[in-house]
Amino acid sequence: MTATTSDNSADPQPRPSFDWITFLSRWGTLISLGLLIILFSIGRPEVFMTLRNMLNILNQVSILGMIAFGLTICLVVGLFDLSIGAMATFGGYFAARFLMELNVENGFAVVIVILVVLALAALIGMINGALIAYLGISAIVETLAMSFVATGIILGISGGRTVYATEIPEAFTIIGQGKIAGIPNPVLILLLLGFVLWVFLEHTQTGRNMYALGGNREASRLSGISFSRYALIAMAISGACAALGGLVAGANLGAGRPQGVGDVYLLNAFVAVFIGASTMKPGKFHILGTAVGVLLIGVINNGLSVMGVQTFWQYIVQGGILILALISASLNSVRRS
Amino acid sequence: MTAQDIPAASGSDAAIPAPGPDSAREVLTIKGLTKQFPGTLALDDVSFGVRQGEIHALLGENGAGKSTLIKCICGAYSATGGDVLIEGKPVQITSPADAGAAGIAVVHQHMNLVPTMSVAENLHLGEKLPRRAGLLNWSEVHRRARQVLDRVGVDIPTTALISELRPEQHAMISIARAVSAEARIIILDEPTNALLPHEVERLFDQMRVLTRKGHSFLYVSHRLSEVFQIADRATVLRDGRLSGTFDRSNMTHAGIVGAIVGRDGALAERRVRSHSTDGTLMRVQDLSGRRADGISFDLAAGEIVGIAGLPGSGADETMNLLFGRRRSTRGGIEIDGKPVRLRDPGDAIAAGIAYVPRNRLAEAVFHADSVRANVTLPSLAKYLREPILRLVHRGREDEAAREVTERMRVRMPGIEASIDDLSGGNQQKVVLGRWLSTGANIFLLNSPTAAVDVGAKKEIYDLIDELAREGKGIVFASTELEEYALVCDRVFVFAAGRVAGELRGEDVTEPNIMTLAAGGALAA
Amino acid sequence: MTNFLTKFAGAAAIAAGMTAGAAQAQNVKLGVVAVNYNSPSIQLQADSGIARARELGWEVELFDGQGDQVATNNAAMAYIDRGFNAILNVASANTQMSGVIKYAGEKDVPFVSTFSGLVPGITADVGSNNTADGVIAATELVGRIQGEGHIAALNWNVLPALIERQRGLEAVMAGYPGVDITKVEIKVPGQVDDAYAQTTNLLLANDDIKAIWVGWDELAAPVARAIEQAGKEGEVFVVSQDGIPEVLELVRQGGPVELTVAYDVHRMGVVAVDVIDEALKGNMPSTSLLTLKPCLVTQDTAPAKGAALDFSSCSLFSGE
Repeated sequence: MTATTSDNSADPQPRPSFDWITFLSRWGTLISLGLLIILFSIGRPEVFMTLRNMLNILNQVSILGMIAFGLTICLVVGLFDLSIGAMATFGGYFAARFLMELNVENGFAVVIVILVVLALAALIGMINGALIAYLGISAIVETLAMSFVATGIILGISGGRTVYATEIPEAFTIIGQGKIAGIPNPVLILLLLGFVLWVFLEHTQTGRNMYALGGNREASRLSGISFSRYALIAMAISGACAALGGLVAGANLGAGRPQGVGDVYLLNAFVAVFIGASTMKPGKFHILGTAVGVLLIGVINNGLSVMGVQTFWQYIVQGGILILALISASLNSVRRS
Repeated sequence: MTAQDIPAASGSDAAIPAPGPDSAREVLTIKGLTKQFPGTLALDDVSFGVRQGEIHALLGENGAGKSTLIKCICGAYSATGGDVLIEGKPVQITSPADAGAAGIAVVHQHMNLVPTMSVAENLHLGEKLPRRAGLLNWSEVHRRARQVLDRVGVDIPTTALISELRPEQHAMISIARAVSAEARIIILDEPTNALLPHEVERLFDQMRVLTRKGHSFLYVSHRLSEVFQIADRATVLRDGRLSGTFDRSNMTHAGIVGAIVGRDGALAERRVRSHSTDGTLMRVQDLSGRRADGISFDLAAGEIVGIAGLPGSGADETMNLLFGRRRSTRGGIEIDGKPVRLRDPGDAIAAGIAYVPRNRLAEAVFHADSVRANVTLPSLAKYLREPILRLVHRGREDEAAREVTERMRVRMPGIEASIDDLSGGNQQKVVLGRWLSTGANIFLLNSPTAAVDVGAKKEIYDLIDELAREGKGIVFASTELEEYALVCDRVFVFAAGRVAGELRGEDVTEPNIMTLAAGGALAA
Repeated sequence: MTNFLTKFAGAAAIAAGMTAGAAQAQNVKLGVVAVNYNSPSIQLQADSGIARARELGWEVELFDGQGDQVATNNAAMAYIDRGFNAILNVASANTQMSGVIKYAGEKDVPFVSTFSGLVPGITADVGSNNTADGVIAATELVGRIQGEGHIAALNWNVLPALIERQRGLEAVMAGYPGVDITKVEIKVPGQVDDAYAQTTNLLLANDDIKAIWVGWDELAAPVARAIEQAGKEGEVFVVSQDGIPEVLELVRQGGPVELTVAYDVHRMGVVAVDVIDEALKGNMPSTSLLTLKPCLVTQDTAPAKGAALDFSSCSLFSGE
């Protein structure tokens, strides 16, 4: 800078009494979630605001939540994972298929099979991460390609045939259908996964380094953080979470479907995570925000169908809320720049 | 280029071009131009003129006001005061289109060419392409492009892709585009930065051809030797003011350097140096990379060594090599007598080296994150509860962040404030402070005061001094040459990828640095 | 687990268009196209047709459009250009294949489809009478609720066959003003998960629902799951149409799925190939819409686990 003038003190503009933009960009999504809950409670007080329906909503979003939590991790690092849909189908199908082939009714075997399936999904995720990090391939295109490969493998091995409830041991279906202390198992799994990933992202060095990479990859490199290592970890977590979601979906419905499991979750997971990134900490992907995004989707779908509103409205309202969330996030960043 | 267009000799003695058609007439006149930014007077009453058919050099340090001046002339900024006159008539230029209409074209450092498109397409960028029956008439596009290239005497196939061409050909195509837009005044903004000497030579030949046809050039460069080689006259800016306009007759090396650095190099507040220089901390031996060759020096504990040089001189490259940001091709470094391999920045950090990059926002700040996270990131491993899950002990982390921000005197609402809400100076203190906890002994500081206000600058100087007194070794670089004199014990000046000279103590002056950096020799 | 690989190899071989079967003098070449071969019931239709054609000693090539109708049409055109003698279209809407049908007509190539709808120009479409299936399921339902009460209908009113079934339901219910229908549009794709969620919501919001009619069998299992999960087993029952093995098993076990109206996917492929065989000999079918007899499957009439349904002997109505 040159010739700095002496009077630098004049404040350019008076400070506004209340900063609405900051307020809305932080709390807008939570407020709309609250408003929707109030609206639905007034509409069907005897149905909506019951413990049973609340658990029901949580149960309905639990699978979406697991997949969206995993996606949050790789978006934190700045990578898009479009293979989560295929990975969900992968997890659901192979868990059911392996159990059918082994034909055991034993809880221990079920746990082993689940771990094997999750490990396979994590391995595929690591392959994604390795291709992206070491070859510098675009994550969007690479994961899309990997989702084709995974879909093809599932269809080839299954021959298009669904593994039915009668072929799956009960020790497996209990994961999706059972309850502990009145709380459905998928909800418990979701809460546990959410807590673990929250601790991981916010309170471990690994998670913090991931945030650093997402915030500024070059600055991270200059701080000694290797992108490739964290890309591998993030994609592995994302793949395993998606497989876990698909697996719980399979257990819940008692079917190992070779197609059509993950496709819907893929898009909704992105919606949830991006709504989350405009919640509480604008511009930052985080687990709590994702949880709010997931809940918002669940409340919209459940509330509108409890109110007897037609299906097409669910699409419209969900899309509208996403647009509002993105606008409020961009308002904040426009003002910053 | 056709044979008859090449001047018979292009040695430096014959470089003074024949006078143009009407060499006394001013085609571009700048009269009392002033540009006020909030808090800064970037241009202060600048006046000079560019004559028809001349190559007029515009010189000055970074931040002297050269780019602001160019932006005012071409309409990117509107001046706060003063006039721009074309052929003696005042003109209002408020947009690039106005500048084009007034016959002014700017060729930027990066040439504004699309690498994946052909020469012909690039020459037509932004214009309506000729059509026949609704479709593009490609033969007409190439015919017109050929005409344009012939006018400037450039022999490049119009079908060639930009990416296949040499850098000086890029410059010539940009100039050809300017000429085809009937520009009489062509402003070249550091066109030679990316060029090798023989490429510069070819570019200059073609510029001389164009001056004979009546075109004028306003030529911005850092390379003084080139200015002496090609410029008919030179205007020097310093701190936003006109520092002098020189004719061929009074253009001397010392005079120009003096005008650029001002005050004839006298230093107002040179720091009293009492840093100990015993005990070699780091020994650099024959370190070489793509743009630096055979760099050797020792850094003592408590010493501040400057690395100076113009862009592309190897000074930046040396900083990058020392931090493992780029891999060396030869040579290496020893720290405390032990050889250290630097494959990536992680190795350098492990060896106790810290680095503050030049571009704070792009290379140093973790956006949308807290001050705390920005401080503790490289040293997080110190605050872990246990080594397996790597859970961070928040209490200890907060304490460390508070300690650093207090010591650095960072002004902020609290350690949880977003880094993006801090001023540039305070952000820089955070960036510098993050290395205080990593146990680094060697600090590589690349322009640590860039885009920082005066108060914060002083605090950062004090901090560098403090670090040196604690026995840290510091390697310092800056885009503002006067800082070397303020900060460094000795300075290595780079030119053309090598150390051109070493300055110590009272010899660390702006004119000396400038002279060495521009490829000159110091008077004994 | 070894049959993983053999399955995989088998599927790959079919997809690659391997031809097989004992070559006979006739040397008929049949091109089979399916817009979505991976759907289980479509696969059954195609495979039974292919098996029948090979019995006749024909050469068969299969194209799986993987959901891409344009690619499916191109494949059918290519078969005709390569001199194939006939085209069998397995469950790809004929309304979207008019170009192929016209071209087949010009080249005098028989075009027979299964479950693809009737359009002018085809040799024949072999399928089930969806409206009748809907009527049968609805009649059985209404009888079980004694002609009054609240029911729900879950369907995807996009596919022509599903629209026809719902029309059958509505025609029956028009005669029962005491029946109140809540219609729910299911999201496709994601139909299985959505059917589960929508049913759970429905049962929460409406305590009085007595029965759920679902448009196709794929929804029966998740709806039944939701009923069990809501603790309404024994209160709410499900009726469906299709007769896929999974639902036959659910009906046999006697859960919430009360009945399904099954159509004969195996025979559809066989009949279609037989129609082609006759057409090649110059005997065109008397009607272009050949519908096969469905079968009402209740707990009493459901086949043993894994066994196939015997369409020749099964009943159409619960009174028989």
